[in-house]
Amino acid sequence: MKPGRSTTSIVLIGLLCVVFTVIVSVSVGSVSVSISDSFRVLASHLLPIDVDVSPLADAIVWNIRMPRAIVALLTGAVLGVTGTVLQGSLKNPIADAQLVGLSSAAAVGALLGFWLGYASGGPTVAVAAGAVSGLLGALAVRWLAGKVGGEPSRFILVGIGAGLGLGALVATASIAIHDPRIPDVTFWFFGGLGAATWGVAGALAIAAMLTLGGIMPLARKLDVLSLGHEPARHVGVNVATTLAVVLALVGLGTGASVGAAGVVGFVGLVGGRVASRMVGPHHKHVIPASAFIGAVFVIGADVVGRIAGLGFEVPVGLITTVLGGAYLVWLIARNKVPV
Amino acid sequence: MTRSDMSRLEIHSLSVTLGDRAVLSDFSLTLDGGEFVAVVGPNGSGKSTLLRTIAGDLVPTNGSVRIDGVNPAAVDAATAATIRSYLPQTHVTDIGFDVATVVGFGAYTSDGIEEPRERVNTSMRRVGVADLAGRPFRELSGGEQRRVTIARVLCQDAPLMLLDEPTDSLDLGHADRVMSVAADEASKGRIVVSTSHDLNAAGRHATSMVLMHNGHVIRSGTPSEVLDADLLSDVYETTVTVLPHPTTGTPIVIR
Repeated sequence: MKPGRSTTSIVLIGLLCVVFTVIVSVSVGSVSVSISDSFRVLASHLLPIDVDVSPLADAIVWNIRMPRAIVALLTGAVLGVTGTVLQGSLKNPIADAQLVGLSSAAAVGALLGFWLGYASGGPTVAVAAGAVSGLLGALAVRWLAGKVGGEPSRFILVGIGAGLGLGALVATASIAIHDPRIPDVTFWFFGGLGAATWGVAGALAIAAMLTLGGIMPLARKLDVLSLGHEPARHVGVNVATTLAVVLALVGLGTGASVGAAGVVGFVGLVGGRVASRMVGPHHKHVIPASAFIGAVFVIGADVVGRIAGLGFEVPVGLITTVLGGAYLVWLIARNKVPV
Repeated sequence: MTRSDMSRLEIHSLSVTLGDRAVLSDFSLTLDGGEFVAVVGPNGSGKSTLLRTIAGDLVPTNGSVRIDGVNPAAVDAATAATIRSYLPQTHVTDIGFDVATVVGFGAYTSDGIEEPRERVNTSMRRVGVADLAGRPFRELSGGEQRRVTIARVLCQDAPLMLLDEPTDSLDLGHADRVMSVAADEASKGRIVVSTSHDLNAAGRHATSMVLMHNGHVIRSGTPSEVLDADLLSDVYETTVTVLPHPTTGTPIVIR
């Protein structure tokens, strides 16, 4: 194996990049905190040592910016991985959770979570409700696609249809209900990290661990699926079960991320494509690589959105969509995506 | 006794109806290890449907398929993979893995049980793709991809091999080599069922032939019995002549 292509080296390099991006993220904003002060705040909380920190820096870095960075990190990691596994299992180079309708399905639950569950647990309820709703959406997409033959393209077609319909429904509902507890319509199209708390980060972390922990053991099956669904079954992979598990995990993880950060587009596409170009086709490499790339992408997009200097905070998903859309056009123009 | 010694494929009055079209009607055939049967016939005669049904991909409307007593459509994918391998007519071309890895996918059910590397190498050598081992599959030519896919099927090491048009897109030399490998697999005790449009290659390498037309068996028997000029002219709707090969004596079909 070539150096730089083992799972361990991917994890080490990925962690370094993510830690660096997180430190940048907690250091920028309307109140500037120096990198060294950020370090001291993080050290005082994460290391068993006494560090002198100013209460203001501590409040900004640890209570406001850190949960925001963690939610961005986990959202990016989950969405990056879901892009990779959907691209692999549906044999479509640009598949992601949004394309198969799961982001919109999750948004329905997340909206209900904000509206009906806010009193009992605040925004954390939206994370749980989004996860459940994403899971149910995955089952529905699988059932509908199965009704019409079960070929990979059916999942995409069913997903696009259901996704656009549900997305419009959620947007309408968020305007019509007009409740301060429900994020405005931007959140349901371009995401938002403004409401991130430690509680939200914790709930999302649980969903992310379930998703990534469930997907990693499927790496070899996903490799064999590159042959196509029928040949993979001929050599012994239970394709229907694998696909059901993949969709369920993708629904769960995507759903939680939508509850925490709204609909952040194109992260799956970018995470999956960039990772496979960097580390090759083996899923045991691409899965962790796409988690790190997705994480850096979303944290980075949030930083850019906050320092863009447009006089307002640009929603994180707007940045990822602009960059991701440009990347997709570039991929197609350079003939990097087989059509 | 090796596994192949007891291999037996029993197909009993198999019928498949797709929509309201009878694609396969009352097809019966029993094969034992060592037999290589070539299924021939015009386009749409039911050859691929027959193979898909034997593989367990299609559930027959009537009749039964048993591979060593097992119904391939009723067992899980991993079990089916240990009793039959299957070369479909087409393959996915955009695979990022290298050739050796793709061939190794054939040994998926042996993952973690035995080291399949030797089987991968042998399979690649036999169809002449060993020198492509490190090349990405998607960068190969159509014929090279076809041979790699055949190597993957060999690597699966199942007692029944189902080959749908194995020589499709192969040049003369490689087509002959692939048919020799298939015959060789049969002589080692496997059952090989292959469809083919190349009547001469089929007649030269197969131990028996089945001629199909509109889902029915028109004739089955040795190549000399099936490669009958009048019969083929009738079924293929074009006038053909059958001559003995000048050196081997096997029947040669010419137009």
